[in-house]
Amino acid sequence: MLLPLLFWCTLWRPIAKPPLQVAAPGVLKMVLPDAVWEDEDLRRRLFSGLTTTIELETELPHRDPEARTAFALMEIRYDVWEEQLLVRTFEPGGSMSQATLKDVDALRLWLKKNPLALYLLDDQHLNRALTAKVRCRIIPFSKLEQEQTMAWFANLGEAQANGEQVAASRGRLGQGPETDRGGNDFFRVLMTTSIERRSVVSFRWRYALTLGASFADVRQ
Amino acid sequence: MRAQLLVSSLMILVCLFLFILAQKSLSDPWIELALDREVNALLAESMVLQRKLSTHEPENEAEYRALYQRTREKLQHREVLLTTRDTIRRRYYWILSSTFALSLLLIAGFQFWYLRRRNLRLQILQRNLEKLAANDFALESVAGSKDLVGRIATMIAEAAEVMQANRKRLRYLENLEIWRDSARRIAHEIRTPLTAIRLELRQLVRGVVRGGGDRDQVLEEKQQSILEELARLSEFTDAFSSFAKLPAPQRKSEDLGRFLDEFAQIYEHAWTNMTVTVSVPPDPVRVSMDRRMVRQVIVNLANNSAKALGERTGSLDINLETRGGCAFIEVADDGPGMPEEMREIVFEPYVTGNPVGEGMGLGLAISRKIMLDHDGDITLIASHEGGTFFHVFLPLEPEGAEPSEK
Repeated sequence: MLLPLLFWCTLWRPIAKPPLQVAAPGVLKMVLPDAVWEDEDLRRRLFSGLTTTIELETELPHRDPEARTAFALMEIRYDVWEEQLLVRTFEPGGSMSQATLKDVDALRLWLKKNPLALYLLDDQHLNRALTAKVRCRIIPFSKLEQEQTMAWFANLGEAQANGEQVAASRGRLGQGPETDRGGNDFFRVLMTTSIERRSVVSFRWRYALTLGASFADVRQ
Repeated sequence: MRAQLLVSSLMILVCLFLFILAQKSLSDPWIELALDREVNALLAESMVLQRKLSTHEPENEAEYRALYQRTREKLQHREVLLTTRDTIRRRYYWILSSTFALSLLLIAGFQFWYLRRRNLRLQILQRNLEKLAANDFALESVAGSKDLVGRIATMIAEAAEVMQANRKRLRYLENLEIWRDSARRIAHEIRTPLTAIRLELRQLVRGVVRGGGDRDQVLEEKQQSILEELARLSEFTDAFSSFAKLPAPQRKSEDLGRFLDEFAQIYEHAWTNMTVTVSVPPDPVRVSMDRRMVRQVIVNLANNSAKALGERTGSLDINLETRGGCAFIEVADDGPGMPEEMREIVFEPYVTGNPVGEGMGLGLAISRKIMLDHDGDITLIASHEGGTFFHVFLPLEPEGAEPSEK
């Protein structure tokens, strides 16, 4: 019991809760706190060449179960050749925006100017006290990159077995292609499916909101 | 079997633990080597250098860009693998350990099945040997004949066949010997009176030819002698007839205890060299029997005991008991016992331990036939130097049944 708790304590990094903004016409917005961008691990990942995905899941009470949860995504990839950050955001309601930024500071400024829309409020939320739950997950690579790596990993043994790359060395060793392929398929499938997209950092924030007769009348 | 299973399970666990330890210490360096962070850093650096080189050599920009793209792809794959390294490592251990555990389980399962099968086959071998020891040749078959157990089973079956053939041969020779012996006895029994008659007739003819005053007396004597010998012949043939045409018992409800008490009183002094003692329970023991025939059985047994004693003196104990719905007459003497080879065939006709001329060996065969006709039997329980012990048993009449004639 104690070991997992200790392990969790070492990973847990407290971070200040960013304020929620309610913009007209009832859009719940947020600016990610600076502390997120100052994280060394995140910075390293941002410049690894992979597409870092920041996923924000917002949950609010609603009669329609499907309308209770909304997702906002932000994909950031650093292009080493161009030396710039390529940013794309996907917000609830289907809006998408993209930007090309010089560095993380520019990204931070851009986000301050363009807070990320998290949830679209409607009349149901007016004149009542609400609890909003926001979960922020940082995923180190995109689905496309995952699929590309899985394909590369899956083809790695096959390519070798077909003698495309290591024919000479195999010839010296006296191994036939069948030797490499035999029994590898099952192993490769199992190993390939181990490449999973999981968040490396995760934050949870909870907000108590009280909305008046209009979306402008909000108290936190 | 349970202990064997426990030991096997423990061994599997120990093997698995050692395998995981060995595998971890062997695999970890290779995984670390394959996903070395420094390689990623170098690839990232080379990408930066390729970009810089392209600015210095604009004419080769396309080439550097292509190289950059390839490097970027590789770096991307390596970064993804590096990120999911722990999951891959866990899955890798899990697959190898599971495969190893499965292999161990398969081996252990096969071993368990093989041992169990071998034990079952050995048990069949044991039963077969026990059967052989008890002269039962109906052996169970043992599956498989190529391994050691199978070969032993085949050898036992072959030995049983040989033993069975030898036993048949021996039985045939024994029967032949019995028949030869009985033929000798029959010939002797017939020849003795015939020889006597022939001599008497010769003397009779001589007396008649010679003539004389005492001719009538001689004639009378010779006639008497010849008639005696003829009576002896007749007695001999009667003995055969009595065995061949043994009458059906005329059964009546009798108190066996009382019957034995009466027997003791009548035959108290019948055998000069043997004392007869009868012991019966106080309560009546009711059986359905032919008194005359059962008496013949007891007399036969007593005669045999008295003959076996010879010049010695001894005793015959007759004890009556009831158990399991039967009345048991236990007849025990303290004679010298019968030869071992006779014990198994003692109830067969023409089997006797007496010298030729002293009985045909039909007494016990007739006794057994009588008891079987009474729905009972007679069995030899023991015979040794301390005496011989027979059981004569009859079914008890059901309680409450009216005494009736059958």
